[in-house]
Amino acid sequence: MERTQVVVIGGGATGAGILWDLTLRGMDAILLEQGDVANGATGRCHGLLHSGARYVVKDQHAAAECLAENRILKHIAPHAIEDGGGMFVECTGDDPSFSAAWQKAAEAIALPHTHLNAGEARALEPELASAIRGAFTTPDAHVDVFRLVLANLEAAVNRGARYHTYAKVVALLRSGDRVAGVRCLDTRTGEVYEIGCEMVINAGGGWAQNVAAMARIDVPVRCDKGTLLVLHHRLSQRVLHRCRMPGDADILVPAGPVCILGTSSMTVPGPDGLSISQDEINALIATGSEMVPALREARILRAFCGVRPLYQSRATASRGGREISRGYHLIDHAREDGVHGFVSIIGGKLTTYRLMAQAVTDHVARTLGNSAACTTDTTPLRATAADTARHALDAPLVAKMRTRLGTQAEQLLQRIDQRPELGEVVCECELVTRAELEHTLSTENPLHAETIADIGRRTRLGFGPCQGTYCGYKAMLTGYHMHRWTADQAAHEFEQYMAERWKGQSAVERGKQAEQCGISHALYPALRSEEESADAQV
Amino acid sequence: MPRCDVLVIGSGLCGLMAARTVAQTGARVALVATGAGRYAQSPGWIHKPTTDAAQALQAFQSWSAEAGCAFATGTENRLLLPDILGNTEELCMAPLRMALADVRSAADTMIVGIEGLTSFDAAFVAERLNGRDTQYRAARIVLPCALGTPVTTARIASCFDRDARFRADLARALRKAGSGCTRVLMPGVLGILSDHVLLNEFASAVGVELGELATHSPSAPALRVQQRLEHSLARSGVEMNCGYPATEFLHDGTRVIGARLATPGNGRCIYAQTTLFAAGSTSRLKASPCAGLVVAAAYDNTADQIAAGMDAAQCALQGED
Amino acid sequence: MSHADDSLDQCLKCSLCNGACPVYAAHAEYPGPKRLGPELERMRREGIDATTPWVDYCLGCHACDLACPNQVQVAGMIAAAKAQTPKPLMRRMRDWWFARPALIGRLATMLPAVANFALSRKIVRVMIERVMAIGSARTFPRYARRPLEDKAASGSTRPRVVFYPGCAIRYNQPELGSTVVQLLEKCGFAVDVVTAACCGLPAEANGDRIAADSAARENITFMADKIDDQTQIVTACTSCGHRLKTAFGGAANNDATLAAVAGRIARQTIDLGELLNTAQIASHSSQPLRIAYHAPCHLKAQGIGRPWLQILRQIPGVQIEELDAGCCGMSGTYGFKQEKYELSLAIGRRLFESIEQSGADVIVTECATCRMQIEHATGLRTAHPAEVLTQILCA
Repeated sequence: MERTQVVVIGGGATGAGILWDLTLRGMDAILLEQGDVANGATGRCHGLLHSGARYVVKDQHAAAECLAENRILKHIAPHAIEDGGGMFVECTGDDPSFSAAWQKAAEAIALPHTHLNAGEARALEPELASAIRGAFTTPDAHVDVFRLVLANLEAAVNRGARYHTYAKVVALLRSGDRVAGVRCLDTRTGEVYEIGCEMVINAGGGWAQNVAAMARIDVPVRCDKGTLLVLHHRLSQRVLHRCRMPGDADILVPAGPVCILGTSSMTVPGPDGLSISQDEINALIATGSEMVPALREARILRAFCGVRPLYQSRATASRGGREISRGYHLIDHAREDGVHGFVSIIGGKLTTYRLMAQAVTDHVARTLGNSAACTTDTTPLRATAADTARHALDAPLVAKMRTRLGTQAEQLLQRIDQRPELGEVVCECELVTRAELEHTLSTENPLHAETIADIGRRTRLGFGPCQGTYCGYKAMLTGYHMHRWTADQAAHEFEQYMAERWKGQSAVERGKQAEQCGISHALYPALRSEEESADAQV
Repeated sequence: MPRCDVLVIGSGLCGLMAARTVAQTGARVALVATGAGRYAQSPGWIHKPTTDAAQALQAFQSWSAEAGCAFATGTENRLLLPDILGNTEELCMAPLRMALADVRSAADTMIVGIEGLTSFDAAFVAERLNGRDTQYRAARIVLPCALGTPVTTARIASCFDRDARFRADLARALRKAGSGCTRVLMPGVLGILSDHVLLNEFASAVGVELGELATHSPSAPALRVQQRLEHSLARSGVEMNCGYPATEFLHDGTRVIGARLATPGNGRCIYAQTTLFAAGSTSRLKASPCAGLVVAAAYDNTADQIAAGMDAAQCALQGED
Repeated sequence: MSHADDSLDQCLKCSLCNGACPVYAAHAEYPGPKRLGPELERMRREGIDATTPWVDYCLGCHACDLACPNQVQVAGMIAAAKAQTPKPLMRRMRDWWFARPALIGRLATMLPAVANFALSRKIVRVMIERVMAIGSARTFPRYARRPLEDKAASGSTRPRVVFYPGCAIRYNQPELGSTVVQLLEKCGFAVDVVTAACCGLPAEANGDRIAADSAARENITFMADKIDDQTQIVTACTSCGHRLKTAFGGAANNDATLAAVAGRIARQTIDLGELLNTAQIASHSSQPLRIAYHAPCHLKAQGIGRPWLQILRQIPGVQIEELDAGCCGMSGTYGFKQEKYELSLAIGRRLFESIEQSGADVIVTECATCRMQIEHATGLRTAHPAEVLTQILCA
């Protein structure tokens, strides 16, 4: 049996942050993720690095926390953050008294902001509605969640931590009143194995309730579904918010070449089997276009939804999703439920993932007698050095590679200089080169991909307009060529991948993406008919 | 002002077939389209019809032979062709060279890939197709000239069209790769401007049965068919206007009398006795019933599209609206 | 670029533009219009440095736009990117001149004998190659002793048209200009010759947006009082015609007056063939004449069919066939450039071969630089269709 000190369950931002913190403090740890990294709420959000501005009126404490973390993350993970700034837009019809309250609250926590009149705001963001009253600038930013999570894992792995993806915990091993390990199922091979440990951390997000249930503990998680839309190209350079009490569809985040509009808020029974209705999409567009009219005509690439795992204490059971605190809760099951060696971390938000990790790790360190202090707030996840070396590859490809990979890009660029065929652009929408693709698939890479969708999370391959129709196929052939898959396995991988990609597009019934999807269906007729017969059976 | 008997909008299979049907009666036809139709983005084959399309398909097949892009129907009037994932698709017709890839063939088959053409892997396709009655092997050839990174079907097809020496070298390489086999299957790259006569000559230079497999868009076999059919229409006197969409129907108060195109400057107007709309459901121009306007039924299925084109043409000729 | 131009959202990644691009076919490393247009445009809007020297290799022929089933304005995106792309100093200097054919024309026609003599000397051409990066094998156009001058039709009751000759006719072939005027008069029009300024296409093609826009504004201002709501502006150069129909509106700088005139220019510009095709020309050729006709890319881009093919085909004794063999590769100043000279000839190879096989008496095409390229590559005689028609009418 494999042994370690701490097992972390859940490969979202929180889990990855915990693994890094544990490792940095010298504890031995293994992270187990049932799917791929950032598979749950982490990978299904705006990717908004809050400045606190959104919460400042309602919850000054949370806002100040966000502001502090915003600064820390910009320092420790610059390659994962696109620091374009944010704008709180005062739309006509929104309550003007909110703006005054907002400004007062922002000053109270020293949130940097400037007020712009309508003309100034529209000069910076020409797609804003002409009928706005004005706007405040804020230090909000976009954070690439996949890059952020991978950077945490990579940093941890480099210092000896271990992690397994597609490792679903099926049982918690008990030794009296202690949790002494986990039983794990490799969902790709079907293999079952056990890991012994001194402590298990449940960072399962929307699935945390299921994990706790294995220890016969009820963890009150309320799943709040949020639906988001990915638009084909950028409509703004800054994160745009409505300057009003938080509501649906009032955030537009420019993320790489696309932008993301969201979100809705709706309580659902659990994190699995969610679907999106055309009505939800129409409602998002209708509200969003009050701030950015171009959204009405803009092409929607896909719709996706995730669940915010909200901690619901018994006192708040009757409140709606937006009323429940977005704060995090650490549950020490030794104290609460008499089960030792087991803690759960619930709720919270992406921006404060590091703070949550710190809180959990403080607790675990205390329990295990480790006295090292937390240094994740000052230790950069990656060495930073500006690369300016010239390469044979066309400039936009180099620029893209550097934004995506940071300092790692240099190694791949040199490889391309030696073998120009590696400079082939495999994903033409996102400009992903063969060098990146092969690096991602190579088992020598500790963070390598297992599936085609994994490649996307690591490189953005298939995230553009064709949604994997062409590049996903090439990625499959590459996996086959590199002996990751046999031909039949490769075809199966591709079928799974396309089914998922089609699902994200199918919610959008009209417009160019529906046509794009039609072309994709025509190319893979057999997949399409299988999918249709599966639908018919349901 | 240019005036014709029938103005056809759309150059998918439906529009092309409609223009052909009308032109054959000697009527003056103009065809308007933006770029190539949806057919040119498909692998190039014709589905099994879901409507009664027998007569139209027969007419289409004889037209294709006349136009230099002959279609074949295969044994028992059906084809079983591999798609790019190595799954098979049952079809009704395909361009001659594609039809030769039928998986029911007993031929000893070599699947030939091309160095640098990363969107096609011969070994993958062979491994996927194996386990059937036929044995598939895989080989890879190196092209006689550098064609960039990556090599694309469009580039190979263009070289094939432009350069006789390239064709000779390619035939030699294929002959070598396929020696000992009775059939060679390769990705569809054999030119866009080539007609079936040239392809037959090319195949005899290779020396074995030579078939083309489906590729991603742009599909050279489909573009080749599009090109030949458009060429055939132009030769039979159809006025071809490709590149600009029709933006509005022209009305004289009671009927549609033509359409305006989005050409630069003063958008060009084409007047016609009857306007036949065959631009499908995704066109920005939406057709609503009106005198002087015939709207062809829109289908995803290529065989149904051909039948719809013929039906619409007959409506237009009879003056039905 | 605002979202109002939503053509970027229309791209379905079908690659038909790449299949239609003459440069993509002739140059193995050229990334193609799909990459340089819509794909990089998404990156440009992201704000990353998407400058690539390849945009400079776009011919501006608009074949991609015509091939696109979804009306993506591919060539326009590439042209905009070209204007943002830095160039090495020598090419910048050279392209400054190339962007200003009217200036070169004015200078060269001051001392045409000197200019023509010098430009025909090998030694001068080698020097030009060294200093200006212009292919030394290239033959330069000859400059006329006297450029075509403005002329106003006086006191005529006949329908008035304005003839816009463009730089090539004005400075290199003024006699063609006179032919066009005579032809128009023969067809019953009163003709004003309005030379105005360069249409700005060479500036646009050389990535000089500022010069292109200022040329456009100069034209607009110059023509403002010379055309009313009816006057047709006749062009005999298909590139000028395309430019007048498409580009002036964008140069109006939100000035409503300029924009109104630009709109009038766009609507009222008509190609000579387009105009004559509606007139009745009764004649026949005394001698059988075999013509091979090449349709210039910018004629195709105007979407007006092949008017000259129809005009000449109606004349008994004339046998005319369209070559239909793609772009000639010259694209104005493109084929002059040292780094693009070989490529330019490679692009046109299919055309040259089909010309050589045609066995025609004369190769006819509207575009002056197409003619230059065809003569350079095949050594055969070329003519503007108006010249052929005039010859037939006068014989």
